[in-house]
Amino acid sequence: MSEKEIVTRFFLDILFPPKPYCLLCGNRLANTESIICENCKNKIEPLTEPLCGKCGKPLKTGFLFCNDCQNEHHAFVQARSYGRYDGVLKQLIYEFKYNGRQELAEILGQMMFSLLKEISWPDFDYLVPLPLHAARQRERGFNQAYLLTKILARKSSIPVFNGLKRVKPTEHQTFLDKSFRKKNLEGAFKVVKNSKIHDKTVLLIDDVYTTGATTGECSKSLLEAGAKAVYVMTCARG
Amino acid sequence: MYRPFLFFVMFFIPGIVLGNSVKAAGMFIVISIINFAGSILIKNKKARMALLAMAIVFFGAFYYNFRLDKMVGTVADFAEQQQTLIGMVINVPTVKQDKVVYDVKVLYLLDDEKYEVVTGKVRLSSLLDDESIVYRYGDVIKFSGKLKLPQGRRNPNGIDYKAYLLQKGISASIFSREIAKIGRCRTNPFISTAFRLRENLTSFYESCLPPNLSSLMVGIALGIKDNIPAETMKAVKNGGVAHVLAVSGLHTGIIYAALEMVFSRLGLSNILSFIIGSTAIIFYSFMAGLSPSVIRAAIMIIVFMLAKVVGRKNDPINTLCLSATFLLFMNPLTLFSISFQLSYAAVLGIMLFFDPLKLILEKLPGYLRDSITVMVSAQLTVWPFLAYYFNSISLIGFITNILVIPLVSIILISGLISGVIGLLFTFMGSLFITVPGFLLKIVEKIILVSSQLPFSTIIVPAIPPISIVLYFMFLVLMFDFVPSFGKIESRHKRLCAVILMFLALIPVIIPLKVLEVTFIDVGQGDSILIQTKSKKVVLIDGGGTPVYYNGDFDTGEDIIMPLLYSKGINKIDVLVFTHFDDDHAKGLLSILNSMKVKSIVYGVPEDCAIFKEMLRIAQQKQIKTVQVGRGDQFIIDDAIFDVLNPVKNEKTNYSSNNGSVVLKMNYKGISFLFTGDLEYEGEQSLISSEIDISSDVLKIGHHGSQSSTSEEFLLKAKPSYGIISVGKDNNFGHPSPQVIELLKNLGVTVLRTDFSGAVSFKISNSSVKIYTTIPEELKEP
Repeated sequence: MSEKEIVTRFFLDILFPPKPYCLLCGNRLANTESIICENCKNKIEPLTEPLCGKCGKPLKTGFLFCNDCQNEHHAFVQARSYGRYDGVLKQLIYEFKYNGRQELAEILGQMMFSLLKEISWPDFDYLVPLPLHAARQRERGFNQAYLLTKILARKSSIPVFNGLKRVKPTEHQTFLDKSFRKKNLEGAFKVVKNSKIHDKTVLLIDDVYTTGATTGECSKSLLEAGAKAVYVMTCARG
Repeated sequence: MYRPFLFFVMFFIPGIVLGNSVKAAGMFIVISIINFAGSILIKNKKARMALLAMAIVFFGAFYYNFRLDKMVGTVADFAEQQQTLIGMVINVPTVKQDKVVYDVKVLYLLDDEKYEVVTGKVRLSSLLDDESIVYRYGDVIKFSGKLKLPQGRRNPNGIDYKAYLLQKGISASIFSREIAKIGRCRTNPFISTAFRLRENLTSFYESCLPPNLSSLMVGIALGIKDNIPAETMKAVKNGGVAHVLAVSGLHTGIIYAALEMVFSRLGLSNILSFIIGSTAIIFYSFMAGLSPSVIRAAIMIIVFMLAKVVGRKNDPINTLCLSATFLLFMNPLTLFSISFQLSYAAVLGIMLFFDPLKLILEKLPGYLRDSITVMVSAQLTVWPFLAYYFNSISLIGFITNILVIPLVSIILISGLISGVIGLLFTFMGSLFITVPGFLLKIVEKIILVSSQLPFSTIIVPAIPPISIVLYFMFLVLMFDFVPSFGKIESRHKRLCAVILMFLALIPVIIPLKVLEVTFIDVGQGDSILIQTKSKKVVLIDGGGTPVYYNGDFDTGEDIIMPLLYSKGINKIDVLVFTHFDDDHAKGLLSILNSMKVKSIVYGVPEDCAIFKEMLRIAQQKQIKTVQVGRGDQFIIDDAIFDVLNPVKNEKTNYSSNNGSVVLKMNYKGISFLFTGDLEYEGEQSLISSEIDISSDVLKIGHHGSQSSTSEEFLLKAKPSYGIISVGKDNNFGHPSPQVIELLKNLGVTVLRTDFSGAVSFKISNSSVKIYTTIPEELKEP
């Protein structure tokens, strides 16, 4: 952390003291820096092979792709997630997104960084946060994908590309079924400052991967804007 | 202890209390620094925290004394003399009928044509007529009058006006007939705009609404209660809704919500809406007069907004403590202000008990459940303070609040909006204001009706502070707030809690078996309260304001009744009118009207308004009246009262003073002689009657006037103590120096209400103790 960050953090800690109790289970923390206890942290298990070669979905048997990816085309090269979207990880992401606990980005970002180091992907020119529509971002106060990207960028020293915008205020994907999700998203994204990502390999970042509809649509827009290849990384996978 | 401000406040507050009782700033700061240095050097974490805590305690004690010195300034040194002062008006003056009151920061004192620099603040009052100008914030004015030190507490649980003014940084008061403006000081434009807007808003409301509603509107919107009629104010208190007239979290919360709605419509960024929002809140706090509750609410909402901007979770308890730290740094005396204590107690109560209580009331529908939960949780922590300061708790409040709060919220928003519109377009504003106007009428009705219902309030005696502490310990255990006791089973904690509660109640349930005689300080006049060992009550006289006084102050209503309530007294067994002069009898009329009285005792009927009024009330309330004379006796709870005067059926031409009822009280071998206004002739009649008038305590007749207390009489009465009930700086020259001299020569210890405030004697089986309200010393006769 830079000096400025340390000073800001010092004052923020006085004004908004972090609780010395685990956010999830309420047990006292040994180290007040952390937000959740070791016990809870250990409950989050990274996904292990066999995984779908395309979208990273855990598979029971040694198929190459999952059912979805056999039938459907995704514009990205490959997607990977740190863990399964349930249990402790689901709670964590819920607190992060809906209870405004932005400091959780540090923990989640660290997980994603460990995943990034592990898999043999090409070197990326840019990290791209999956954008929120301006109205939604105002409502929530922040873009969770952007916060994660910032952490990942700091740890990996890969620059961030902020030119991907969401131009159509879309319905909450959660409430729509699969076929509608795609339709809902058509033309929702736009890339500004095209030249920057021309012929570049980029990594798209989001918090949760569900059907791949959103990330797929984003990837399409990035490719149309001239990107060479798009990979996707999320914290959790539904 | 992970909340830094909680840690600080927890030790800073005891420090302030320490500083309030021990004046040794130099020593405190040295100890504090040593402790602090120690806490830096020592490695052991627990020892380190303990030293840091000590450092904060002593720093608090130092800071209290340091700030007190600064605030009092030098102006108080010139008090009790005629002075001419020059100073700057620092507030929005309070205008009430024909009176105006300013708070003035003094700059110079005119001494023999020379200007001397003085510091401090004074409260300046003056009369208003059609031609006088009301000065405003920033005006430099010249005024002269007798500079007075405000009165401290003069009766047990009475008003401490001196402390009240000091909490506002004011150390002296002055009345000046003429005030001249001699210039203007440079002022803070932010503050003067806020004050200007406040004045304009107030006059807009006054021009558009009838006076009874506009005063309520001003009270709700800006927390200014000055113009609310006394009757309405009493109803508001009894109705349990006084808090809507104190600007607090309800207000800032509503303003925040309204701003938030506008900002998100406009699509402002987080940071921009934070800056505009917090500026608006601060501006409003200035308009509302910066009372502790406003500042508390403003800080809490601003930090709440900041949390959203920086993406942290707001910790309400830490933020609450931050606001307390801020207020106590601004003025450590704030700790002792009622506004501060009530505001913090209420918020703390809501924070701590809202969730657990909500679970209990789960079954109720949403709005009802939430509002009941809020009220009950606030009440759990607030009631000891209400009992202590006001001796009454509103029961009806639980119902009125459910009805009134939503209406008040709408009145506040619509009132502020129409106010702002009205300042721009008067006509439009006057149309809009009909909405809050209509709702105000409903609210006023609800309050007036509910406060008159039977059992709307209950009288609660002032609870001893130790019981309040035990009660809070009970709450902590009952609701399990300190997790570090986690190893103890919660069943056992509850058991401990119940035991503590029982201990807290002991002084209330089982009072000490003492008889207490209190010579109440009613100014110029007499009033003596006798409370027997099983709480029977005899009240002899009730003071009273002179005929020419036309204000609404009443010794019965404003001095005696609060004192009675604070002692848990709500009925009087024997009410004695020694005679019917204003300074003895007038104050008893309001008591007769408002309290339960079993019997009235008097001596000689008089042809005067007070006597007739007494008979009228007695008849209306069916109170037994007894005319007594020499030879009569009544016994209350082992205390024997012998009537020594007037002589029955004697047709002599008594002056009313010589017809005073004289009572001799005997209890456990201690005797008191209450002489009313008995003068020389009456004393002679007692001496010649050969009645035993010897007594341990003599109430010196007629306020120590020269016409009473002859040497002959004193030699017969042989008192050890003489009590003179007399007003400070009275116009009669009471007590006379000759009488004082005589008492001194005969070795009688004199206690005067003008010097000592109320004087009380507590007689138990083994001892007699004397207490004076203005501390002197504790004596054992």
